Amino acid sequence: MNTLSGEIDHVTVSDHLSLVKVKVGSSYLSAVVIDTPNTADYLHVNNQVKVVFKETEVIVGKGDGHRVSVLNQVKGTVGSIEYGELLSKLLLETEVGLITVINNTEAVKSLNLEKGSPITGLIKTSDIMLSV
Amino acid sequence: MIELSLQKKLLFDTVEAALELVLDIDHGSITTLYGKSGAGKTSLLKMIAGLMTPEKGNITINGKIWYDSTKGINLPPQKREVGFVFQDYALFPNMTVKENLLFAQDKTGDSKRIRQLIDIIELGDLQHRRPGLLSGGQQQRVALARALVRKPQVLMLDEPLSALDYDMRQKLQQYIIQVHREYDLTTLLISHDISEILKMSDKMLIIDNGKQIAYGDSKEIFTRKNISAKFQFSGEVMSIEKQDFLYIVTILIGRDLVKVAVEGSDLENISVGDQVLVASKAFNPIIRKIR
Repeated sequence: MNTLSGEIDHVTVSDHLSLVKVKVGSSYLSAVVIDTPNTADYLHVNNQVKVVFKETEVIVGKGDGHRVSVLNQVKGTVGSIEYGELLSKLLLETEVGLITVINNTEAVKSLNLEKGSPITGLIKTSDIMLSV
Repeated sequence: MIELSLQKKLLFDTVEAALELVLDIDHGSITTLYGKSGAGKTSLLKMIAGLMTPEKGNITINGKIWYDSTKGINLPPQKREVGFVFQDYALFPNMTVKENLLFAQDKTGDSKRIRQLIDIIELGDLQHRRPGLLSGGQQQRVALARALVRKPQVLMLDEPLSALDYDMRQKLQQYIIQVHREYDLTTLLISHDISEILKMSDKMLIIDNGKQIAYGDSKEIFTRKNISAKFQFSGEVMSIEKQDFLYIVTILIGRDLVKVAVEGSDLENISVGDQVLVASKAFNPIIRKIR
């Protein structure tokens, strides 16, 4: 899994849900969690948290400026690619740090990526866990 | 309440080290002792039962001193009010269930107690049979009843259920919780089964090499509040298979086998047989009505 360290920048609470914006590296990642500052005492601005998401939950877009309904869009470049029969593994060097991605080989190949290609990593807020 | 402070040199995995424990265990609680084999769990029970003598320390049960090295007090096992159940039932094969219970009773014992135990642990239909004709679970029920015949204050269970199948274990757990409440016991349980620990015990003590690693509420120790995942289970790793860049890990959770696909670096310190936490965001699972 990808585990990145960050600091809580903002917490938006609505009933039982919170949207937590975390400063990671030079950018931000947001996670929606079924907790509020009342139920989880780590949910406060300036607290250090780990942002956790699986390699299979990252979508890779070529270039930037993608108009898709994904809040987390981090820019970077391709560090390495390894192709497998069904799945391929990419290492992305992004503004939030190194991210490992496992995606369909066919989908990865269709992007014609090579080392250094500019990409955007897209991760849904509901796929990100926070841990302390 | 059990108050104890114990010191004894023991052999841990071929290395001699001192068991050193200071503990207060609430009256009426069920406490699980958890740790690797050879960590000192059984030795602790034996010292409380008087089957092993510490080098130094004291054991006070509900205000009564059972052992005190400075005062030279060391009650023999038969004077300590403990009931012991082991994984091995050790019933007398030539006696019926009821005779086994009667034999465990001291001279002052009343027959009402045995009738009551036969009732609670539902041994009525089995009481005139010999152990050889009983299943493992039934024999363990008899062993549990026998441990309670002499009205112990402390019930000690040394992996009593580990040889039983899932359904039988569930039943025995119920009987244990029932007698624990009925007789206002303080119960010490050795178990490796996390679901059993969560279900049965109020507190848990984790020990390693004779030393306390953690002591506290078992649910707090096992359920990780420090990760925002709302879909959390603990289970045992049954197999790990490589698949492209992923590993398919099969995990036994309760009586269900689940599969989790993870990347190789997640498995660095995980191997088959390990207990693991399985966690996911609450947004991923779906539910469907099956009944």
